[in-house]
Amino acid sequence: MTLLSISDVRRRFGDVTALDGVSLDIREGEFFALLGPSGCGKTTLLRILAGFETLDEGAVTLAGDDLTRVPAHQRPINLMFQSYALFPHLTVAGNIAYGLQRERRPKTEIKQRVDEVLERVGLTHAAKRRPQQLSGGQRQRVALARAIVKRPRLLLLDEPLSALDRKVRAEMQLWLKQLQHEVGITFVVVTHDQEEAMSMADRIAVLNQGAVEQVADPVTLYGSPATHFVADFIGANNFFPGTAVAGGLASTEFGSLPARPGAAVPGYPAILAVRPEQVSLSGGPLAGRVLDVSFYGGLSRITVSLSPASSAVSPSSAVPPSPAAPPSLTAPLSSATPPSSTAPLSSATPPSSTAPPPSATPPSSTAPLSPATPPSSTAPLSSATPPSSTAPPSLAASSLLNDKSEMSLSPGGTITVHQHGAPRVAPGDAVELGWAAEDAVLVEP
Amino acid sequence: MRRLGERFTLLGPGLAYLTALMVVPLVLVLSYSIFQRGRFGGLVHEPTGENFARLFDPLYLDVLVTSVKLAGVTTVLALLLGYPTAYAITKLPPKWKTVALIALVLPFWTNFLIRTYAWIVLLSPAGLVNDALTGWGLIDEPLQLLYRRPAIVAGLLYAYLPLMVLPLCAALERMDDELLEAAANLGARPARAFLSVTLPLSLPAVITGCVFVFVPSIGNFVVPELLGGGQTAMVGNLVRDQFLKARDWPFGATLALAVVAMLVVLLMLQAWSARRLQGGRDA
Amino acid sequence: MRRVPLWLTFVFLYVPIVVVVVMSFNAGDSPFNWSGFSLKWYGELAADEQIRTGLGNTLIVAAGSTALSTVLGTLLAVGLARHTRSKLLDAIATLPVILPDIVLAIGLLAFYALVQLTLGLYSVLLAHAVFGTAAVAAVVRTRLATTDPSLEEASRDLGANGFTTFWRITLPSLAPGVVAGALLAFTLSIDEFVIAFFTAGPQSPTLPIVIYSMVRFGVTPEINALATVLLAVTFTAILAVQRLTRLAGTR
Repeated sequence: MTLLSISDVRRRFGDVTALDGVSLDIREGEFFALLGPSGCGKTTLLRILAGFETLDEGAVTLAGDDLTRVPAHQRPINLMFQSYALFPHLTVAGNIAYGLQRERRPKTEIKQRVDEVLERVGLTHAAKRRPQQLSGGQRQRVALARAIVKRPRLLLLDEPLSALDRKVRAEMQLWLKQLQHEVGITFVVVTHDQEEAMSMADRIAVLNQGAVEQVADPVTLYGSPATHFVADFIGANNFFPGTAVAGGLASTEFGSLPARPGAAVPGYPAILAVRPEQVSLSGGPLAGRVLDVSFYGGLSRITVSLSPASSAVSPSSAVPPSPAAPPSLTAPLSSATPPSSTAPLSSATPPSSTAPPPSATPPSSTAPLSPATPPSSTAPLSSATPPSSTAPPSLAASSLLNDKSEMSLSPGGTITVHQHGAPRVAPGDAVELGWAAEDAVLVEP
Repeated sequence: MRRLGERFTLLGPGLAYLTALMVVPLVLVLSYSIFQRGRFGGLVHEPTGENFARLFDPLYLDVLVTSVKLAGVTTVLALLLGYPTAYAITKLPPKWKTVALIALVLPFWTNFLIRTYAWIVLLSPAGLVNDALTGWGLIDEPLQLLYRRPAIVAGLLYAYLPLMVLPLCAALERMDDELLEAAANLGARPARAFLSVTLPLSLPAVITGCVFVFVPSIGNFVVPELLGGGQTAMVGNLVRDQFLKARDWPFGATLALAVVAMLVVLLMLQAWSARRLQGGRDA
Repeated sequence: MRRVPLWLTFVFLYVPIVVVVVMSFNAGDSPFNWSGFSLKWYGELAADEQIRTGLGNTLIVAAGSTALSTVLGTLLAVGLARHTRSKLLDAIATLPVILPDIVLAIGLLAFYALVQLTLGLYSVLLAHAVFGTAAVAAVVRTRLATTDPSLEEASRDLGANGFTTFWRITLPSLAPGVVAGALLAFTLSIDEFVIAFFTAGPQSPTLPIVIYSMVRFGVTPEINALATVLLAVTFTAILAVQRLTRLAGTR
């Protein structure tokens, strides 16, 4: 059942459009996350929900009632501030009782409910202390207790874990999720941290530049991102631009690459996204040379410089190298001009250099793409690929996964591969790589 | 060793100067209060509690009580006018805020005697206030405004009002707006949010402002003399008279110490209120 | 509605000043009843020997005490900020600012009596340097809080001794604060009445003492004229300082 309905909300600040027609339905009892980079409009949306900000257009209803006309102090919505905003002149118990006192509850009820919630957050011993005397994690629990003691219909959490250090974060993550189960309040977390959203939320809305890119559960979001932005923002990814064709992507530089169609329409420009852990180094349509190997404990990150398909094809091939292809075989493909995705797939089509238009090309992901390709690219994946292709990123690897520096849309030459355990290749090794069609997806550019 | 020499060169001269011309004089005032006055205005070096006993002589006690009352009323009025003023200033757009702050301190930087003189001009039987009141037909005869206690309060308020507004402005400016949003989010109407969050958080600044107004008010002898016509003496007048007319320095010093004692009590109150907000030990 | 108290305050602060200034141009003998425009009181003022003496004395005291305060206060500020954490020394350096002027005044009077110093102009000058030093130290310290101590460490690291570091690195970065502190000390001294009243010799009244005796003997538009001149000077000075500090701040 829909609890909070946001429809076509728009908000401008001067020349800046903070929200550009956002629509979302948040269900009763769910743990929902608004995820996006800073400046994506998530904070504005949060402030609109809390009543600190007005909207220019659109509607917000809570359980069917128009929320926009209700002043902030009368909304059955509570907010846990990013800074916690605890009152420094009140004790922990005083902070928690504050909201109940505003409801003019009888003193005995207030005391009972404050004691109850203090016990739930494990701060009974700190009831008489002041916020300044508490640790960061304790302050956060006070802020949370202060909000849930009011038993709101909806609890907003603004970057709930951002101020905590890594170790406390992991604990709080788990604890927040449990708490939400126990109290049964609808939680809406606003965060820029994909890991925070992925690990806690039932559903996530990814916001970018004031608009919703995709709303889905974490597994879908990770495995089947709808847009390039989502694929790039969540987890690590490798991208190949090209044209969507049946069974995959036609790339000017690398030929036919296997992928699920996703939201892409054949014949239109699309981007292929493949997770580093889905790429196998034990054979495939692509060839390259290992540039760098980094070992991160449970995981190795391997950077491979890709050779264009024309070079991967046997040297005797009559096909001339495409103009964008670099002369050297081992050098990283530094070409700055991305090939036009509608260009004829000259290098990728071995039989004839005067290839038919993309839609007419029948590249099959099972057809041998080059002499170097093993019999089938859908052959059993190497042991380096994790068993579950849609697993959310683990905490241990998160620093690695959050590193976006390697990600670029350009055909520019390198691909990142994750292998479990110690690396089994060394810099300079020539490798062949590929992936199964169901492990890569086409996304909107 | 080099650091030590440097420290001495930097701190030495200033501290020596302040010790000689402030600490020693204060110790002198303190020591005078326990000595007796000699027959010809000199000093008899025999410890006595007589000066302190004299503070409770009805004659002087009355002056002390009057002084506390007048300075107290001035302080309360300064707070009542100064708090909303400071609040309004912090809500101004940044450009106007600067203008308002400059406009607030400008009169304060003009000569204190001139500012007091201005009130003689205003409050005289032929002055602007009486003119206005008769002009509007509110009164038939000019009122005797000058040389009455309200005139003293007006003069003191005029002299020290900016000292109340400035610390309040600083405190309200520092106020975290998120705390008010938190109050609203927890169900407090704006008025309630002000009373339960803004006001208690600005308490240290309120007390600071009160110290800044009360202390110079109670020690002032110019305003009571010029605007009170010498009919209402305050502690400041007594101190001056003991030193410059009666030549009873020990008692004058004791009276001055009474003022210092009030200052110390107020400063302790201020420190306590500020510490309460910082929560003692900082996490 | 919210700005009503603001306007009340400004009316309260400026009406007396405006009345004083307007009446200084009165042709009549009364500072209350307007009887036409005239500059005659400014003429009287210029010819007033007492006021000229007072002004001269005040300027000597202000200049002397400012020079003394600036040197002592700047050294003290650097010393307090960089070389000690003593709460007591802090308290001594800030005490003159919060101490009621009359207490300092009688203390100094008693001190001068003790060391048998005859009261004159220098006794006022020395007295004014007490709060002047505290004022300069306070202003310079706020400036010090925003300068980077690692600059001084860098200077030492590059081989400069303590004096060279202070002279070539610390002082130049403090210059705006020192100037602002000196101006503050100067203004405070010019306006100071109570301490001067207790510590000045009978032959050397400062301008505030002259004004005090004039006001006590009765009101005349000549005081209004004097007030207007002083107002004009202070207003100009304050606005100039404001500009100066803003320029220093943007640089």
